[in-house]
Order: sequence, then structure tokens, then C-alpha cells
Amino acid sequence: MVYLLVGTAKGLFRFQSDNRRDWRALSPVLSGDPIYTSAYDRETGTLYAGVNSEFYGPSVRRSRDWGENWDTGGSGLAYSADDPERVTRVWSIRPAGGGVVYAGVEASGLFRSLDGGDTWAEVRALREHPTHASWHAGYGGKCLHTVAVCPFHPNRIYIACSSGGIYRSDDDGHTWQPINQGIRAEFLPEDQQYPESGQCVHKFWLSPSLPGRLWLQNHGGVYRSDDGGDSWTYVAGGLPSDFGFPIVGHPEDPDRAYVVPVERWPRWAPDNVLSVYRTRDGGVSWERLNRGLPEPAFTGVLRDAFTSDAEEPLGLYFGTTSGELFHSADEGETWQLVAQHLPRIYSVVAVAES
Amino acid sequence: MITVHLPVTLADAFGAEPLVTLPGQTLADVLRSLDARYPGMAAWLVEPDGRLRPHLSVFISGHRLPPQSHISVRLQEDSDVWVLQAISGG
Repeated sequence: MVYLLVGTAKGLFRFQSDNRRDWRALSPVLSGDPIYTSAYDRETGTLYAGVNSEFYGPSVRRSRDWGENWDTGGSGLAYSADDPERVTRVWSIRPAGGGVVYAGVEASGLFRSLDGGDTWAEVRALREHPTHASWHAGYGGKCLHTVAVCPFHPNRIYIACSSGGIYRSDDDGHTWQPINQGIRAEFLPEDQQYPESGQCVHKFWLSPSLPGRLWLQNHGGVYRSDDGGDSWTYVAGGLPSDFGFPIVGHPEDPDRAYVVPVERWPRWAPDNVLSVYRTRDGGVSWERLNRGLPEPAFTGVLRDAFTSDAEEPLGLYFGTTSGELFHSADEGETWQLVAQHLPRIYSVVAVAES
Repeated sequence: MITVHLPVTLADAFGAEPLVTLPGQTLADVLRSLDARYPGMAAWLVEPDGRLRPHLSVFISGHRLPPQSHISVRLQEDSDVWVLQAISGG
């Protein structure tokens, strides 16, 4: 069984399939609230949703029955009263095993729970880093949108924020270093485009199969790292645009990755041909995968609205800013529409359960 | 005693009754009591600095508090508190 959790501007939509061809829509839940992210913790069977209510603020809510019933979230997901910044939205939720859960928030910061989300505490060293002053709000907000824990070195944590860049901790969050060397900040003056931090990283993906391999979609530029982010190689040469938001890697083959290029403005697919591009050689070359996708399409795909299911062959899923949900059961060779007329799609999560 | 009218969406999320009667001399007292009865509810209504969230509208005995008022505001013995979702969104 594969469950799809689709976070939108007006609630969480759920779909399920036992053959990855025929999809059944379950009733929408958390209706009316923007859902920027969701996650599933296999260890505990807990579904998490980042609910960013316009009225009641942000919360990380939990369900133990695939979203039928939700709690009201834990406590502590806030900066202190005298902090000049406030927690206004949840952008990322990452269960890390053993009850540890990370949450990336706006204004950019990282929280950690050691009890599955009952209580939250800020990982303060990150916002206390001397480069914090270089972080700013992008078009979508000043957000920490991606968190990954290294499967080979469990004390190693990666985060990225927009704008701000990608950072790594090698000691479980006690200290952090910016790892943006070689990543271009095209929105800065020409002689200042490679700063230590402040880059607008849109998304990164950490390989679970090759130590040190990362893929990164920047605000201009697709990059690969083979050394845990110490250095980056620009690999967007074969793409129609090096701008985009999401990037997804292959769980078994570290040389494969998938992006959805858009033009810098108005952030639609180049020539309005909505396409996923795949590399199978570490970014040396890219191939267009758009059989079954609509054309022309005046739409885009946001940073968390593209994902895979880790099945074989790899299933890919993405949602558009105009509320369409697409799926490929053959690693992008062909696409089918799963749903349309949804609200603006912020996030897509696929969970395969045997 | 203070009578508090909660928005239905808020009451539903917490499994609360939409009409609650609580003791208190300030709005902060009332929110503390609400939070004791429904853990976490106060953080849904109030920012860490003690001000009401910006898209909430609170009336006390018929008079609307200025937006984002501080919850130190005093209540009468029989105040009627309405918590409403302010007009917002699309």
C-alpha cells in the first residue's frame, strides 16, 4: 500500500493505492489550514503535519490513524518572549529515530523533540552562529525548509534555509558550519556572489546509499557534492533552466537525481513544457521526462511538492502550484494524473507500507 | 465567573465545549485556566510576548479589544469573552 500525503494551502489531502495505478482519494483533513509539510515515522506509526494556521499559529500535529484524528501538537515550538524573531510557520518535519524529531521553522530556526513531538526545544547554536545576520527572507519567507540526518554518521545533521544557505553540524547540533563554498548567490553584486553564507538554497537531498553525496537545487544552479558539502560541483549544464525548487535523488543509485526546471520568472516550466529531468550519470547529462504531462502548462512545483516512494521501479510524485497531482510508477518514463482542482500544493509525501 | 465563547474550530481541535465558564480577574487568568483544562490552547491564542495572535478578534462584554492586545487586560466579575476568528484569508 502506498499513501500519498498532499499538503496544500487549504488542508491535507490523502490518497492510497495498492498497485500504484489506481488511486483512491480519502477525505481531506485539517481543512482550511496551510500544510507546508508532513512526515511519517515508521517506528511509531505516527503521521506528522506542519499546520500553519492563519488564526492559531504554527503547530506540529500528530495522527496515529493515517490522518483521521489529530492531536493539537506538543509544547515549546516558539522562540522566547524577548527574542526579536517569532516562529510563524513550520516548513520541515524530520523524524530521526528513537523518538527524535526535527522541525525547521520560519523565522529560520531548528527545533528538536526527544519525545516524538510532545515537547520541543530550539537547537540554539544554529541561530547563534555568527553568520545568522546574513540570513534573509525570500519570496516565500525566511524559512528553514530542509533537515537531514546522516545515516552513516548519526551526529551529523544538515539543514538549509532560504535565504541563508546550507549548514552542517558534526556534533549533534552543538556547533555548525556553513557549507556553501562554490554555490553561487546570483542575486548579489557580481564581485560578491560566493559568500560564506546567505545563499538561497531551495532544496537539498542527502543520499542514503553513498556517504557524502548530496544533491542541491539552488536559486539558480543545480549542484552535487561528494564530500558532505565541503565542496560543490555545478551540474546544471544540460538543463533548459538551472532554476527550480525541488530536487529528489534515487535511494539506491547515488548518481541518479530528478529536478523540475522553471524559468526565473514567472517560475513556470521553460516554454511551458512541464517536465521532470533525470540524470543517471551524476549530473553530466540530463534527459527530459514528460510523457503524460500537460502542455502548455502555466504552473510550477514548489520545493517540497516532489518526492519518491523508494519502491522498485522508483515511483515519483509531484504536485503543482495549480493543484494537480502527478505520478509516475516507472521512474518518470510515463506520468498519470492522480488528482486535479486541489488548492495550491505545498508538499507531497509518499509512504510505502507493506 | 467569566463566560468564554470559543470558535468552533478551536473547540473541535481540543475536544472542548464552545462555551466555557472559568474564574479569573484578567484575560491572562482565563487563558491560564483554559490551558490547564485544555493543554496547549493558550499557545494557539497568544504569542510568547503575551499578545493575542494577529488574526484573532476578542470582544469583552460587547467591546472589541484592539488587535494584538496584551492579555493583562482586566475583566469584570461577570465578563462575557468572545474569541472570534478575524476576517482574513481568501
